[in-house]
Amino acid sequence: MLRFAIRRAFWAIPTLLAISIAVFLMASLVPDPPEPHGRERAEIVARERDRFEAIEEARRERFADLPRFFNATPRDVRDVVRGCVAHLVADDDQAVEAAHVLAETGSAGFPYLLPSLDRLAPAARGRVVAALRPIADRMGVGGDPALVSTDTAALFWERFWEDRAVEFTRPNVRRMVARLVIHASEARERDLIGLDTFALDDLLAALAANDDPEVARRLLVVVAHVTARPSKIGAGAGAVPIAEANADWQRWWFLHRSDFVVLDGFERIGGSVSETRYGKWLLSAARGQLGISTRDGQPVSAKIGARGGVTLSLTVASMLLSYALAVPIGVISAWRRGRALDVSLALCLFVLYSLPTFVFAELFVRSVGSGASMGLPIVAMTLGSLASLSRYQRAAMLDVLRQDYIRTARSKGVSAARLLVVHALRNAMMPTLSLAGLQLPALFGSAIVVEEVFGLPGLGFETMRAVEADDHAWLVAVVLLTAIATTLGLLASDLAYGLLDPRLRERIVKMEAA
Amino acid sequence: MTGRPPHARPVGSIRRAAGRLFGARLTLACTAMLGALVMVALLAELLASDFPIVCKIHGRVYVLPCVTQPAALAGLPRDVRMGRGAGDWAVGPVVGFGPYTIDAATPPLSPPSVSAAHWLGTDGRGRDLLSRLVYGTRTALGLALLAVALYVAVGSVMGALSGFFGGALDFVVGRVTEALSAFPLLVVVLVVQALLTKPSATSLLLAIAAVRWTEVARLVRADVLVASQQDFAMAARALGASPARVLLRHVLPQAVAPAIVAGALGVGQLVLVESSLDFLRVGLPEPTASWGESLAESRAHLGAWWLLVFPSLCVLISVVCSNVVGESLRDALDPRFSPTAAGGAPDITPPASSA
Repeated sequence: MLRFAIRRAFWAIPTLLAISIAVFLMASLVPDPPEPHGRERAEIVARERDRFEAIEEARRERFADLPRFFNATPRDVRDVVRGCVAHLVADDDQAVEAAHVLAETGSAGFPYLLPSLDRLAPAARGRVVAALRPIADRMGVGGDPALVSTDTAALFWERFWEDRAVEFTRPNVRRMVARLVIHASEARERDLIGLDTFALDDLLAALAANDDPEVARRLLVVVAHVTARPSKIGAGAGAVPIAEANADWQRWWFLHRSDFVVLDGFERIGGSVSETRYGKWLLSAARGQLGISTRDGQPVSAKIGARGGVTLSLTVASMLLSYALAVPIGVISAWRRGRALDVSLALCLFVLYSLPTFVFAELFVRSVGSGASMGLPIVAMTLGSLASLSRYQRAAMLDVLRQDYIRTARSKGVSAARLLVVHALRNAMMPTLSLAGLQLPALFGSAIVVEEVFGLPGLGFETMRAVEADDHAWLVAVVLLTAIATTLGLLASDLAYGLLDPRLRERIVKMEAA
Repeated sequence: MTGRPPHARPVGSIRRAAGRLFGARLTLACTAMLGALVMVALLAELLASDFPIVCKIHGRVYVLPCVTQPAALAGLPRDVRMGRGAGDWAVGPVVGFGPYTIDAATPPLSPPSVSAAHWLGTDGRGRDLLSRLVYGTRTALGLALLAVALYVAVGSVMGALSGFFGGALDFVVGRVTEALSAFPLLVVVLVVQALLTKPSATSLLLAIAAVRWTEVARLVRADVLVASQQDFAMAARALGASPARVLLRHVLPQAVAPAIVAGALGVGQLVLVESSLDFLRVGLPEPTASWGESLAESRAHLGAWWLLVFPSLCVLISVVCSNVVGESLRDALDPRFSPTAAGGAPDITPPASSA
């Protein structure tokens, strides 16, 4: 059984990947936030710094700066520094922006910048050095008199690198971060701030590994200082609990990490897949980060958790009810096959199946009114799904009734009720029961309609509000959720089948493979 | 599928199918009803319009102004346009109102009455319900038939190729099929329409086809797989027929039946889905007349029973008819489901609901 389960589960992996690609393509239907170019871009950078930052952040959030499926040359801090220096040397449209980016990149770029500083022409070197000024302030060495004039500043940075290059190594940074985690002191904090953005990778890794709020607070203070981004902790405006601030920073690091670290070896090979829109999207979806709902600013995953209960109880109850009705109907119509009862039941079910769910829901709302009760929504959802389930049950029952052992039991004089319930139903229930895994996600379509008509605050109701408000993150998340639920439902029903009837295992796996 | 004799020619089986098909009175009635609905959809302008079919107004004869909508008539008052002026005459449509015309003479939400101008009453904006239902037929059936034609074609091609050639192509098509069939139709179409900046009937059509072709592909693939391993296919190969010829002339005809049945049943399902989408107001763009849109109107006006009953009847009739026709086709074309094989009444087994 275990071997069968593993083989069957293995086959779900390519399907889930294909689902993720389909949903990703659906999400790509939403147009990207526009990116300013050329002169216009330079003007926005020079005049409206905040607006430019907001545009960039919105594009980052949608991974719009990356190629779609494959990235032959993933960008890392070396490329960032090289690009900035090129713009500063050429002194072109984007030089202002480049100076700003260079300052933001901070000491993470030093190993690729400072050693080659003396190779630049004096004028260009002056512009680069001027751009480095904010970093010096951030690191706490801004008071040095050498920084006042650009000529001496270049010398200052060369000397800085000669003296302190040894500090800018991974083992050293890791040790310093570990020391700060163990015990706080102002000197240790200052030392780390002196390392600037070079320490970010280890700081964020330590943050991710530490649950202790006191340690997290210490680390966040350093991180916030180094990146000049509000830490969101403490007592000020926009402050949130430590855990939430930590999650926010981890998300920021997920979007910006490649600006501060070097991608080498395996990371570079992996980067050709992970540093793409699809890769980033899949990674963040796998971490449960489905985006922020634009309607109320809540994380989508939290909202799904809050709203999912209503929908889940609605669909589960409806499924139980439809089984409770469909099994007896199927058994009776198989028993009275071709008689008046069978035909009239078939006709009734046929009419029920041929009406959209919302017509039942509307009829109920009109006759009783949309109270808070769950009873009528459940009945409305059930009526539509009853037909297919009871016909499956009828077909399964017909199969069983044709078997020899039923004829034997009959000839021994077993009563009709005992024959049906004890002898036949046990075997005939199996195919129907194994459909349960598929039934649940398929009911989600009806759940949208029913929740909308009755005003029940579940996933479907929220989906309709999201449609009205163009809340794209929510819609993509819902479609992904239902597709994954269906695949897992199918997996569960196949496993149940294999558990109940070992003869079918080989066939199930083969059908998957073929 | 192994039960089918290998020499069965598709032409013969379709003729036999037709004989059985029209033998049953219910099937005949439903086919006729479906045909009538298609005629309504095609001839909507002759049934409901602001313009007459033929008329002479101000000494000029107009032929089919209801289709051409000439500018000379558009400005005229209603009475004159319908040929009530002195010396004028007109052969009017059954309903003298277009689907978007707001009748100023009748208040909105007037109930149905045979003697009044609006036989089935008016909706919340004062538009004639019968006229909206006539044009709704065009929307529902037009969309369903187009989408079915599209996805049956795509599904047959994909299924035939993957079943016949197998290998990596089969694997990829199989995974894509499985992945796409995990999306509930209503949810996908709703989300796609909501994500697009400009949702349209075309995008609705494409979204439906993108999800639904998988069902046909799976059915066709299974039959192609069986047929291509049978003796007659091998014989054709041995005679030197090219793979294309074996597939098109010998194998594919064996797999036509499930595609046709899936198409017939699909029409009903798509009518259901389309009405649900328009009911939720995420289907077709706003002024389009559709049954679901009329039903959505009924939500805003709970007292107006006619806005609920008549569109529901339209949906019910077309879905029942297309399902009956589909089931009869299945019985006729596919021996596995024939009444004699299963014993007793024909199995009316609706496929798993998606609406």
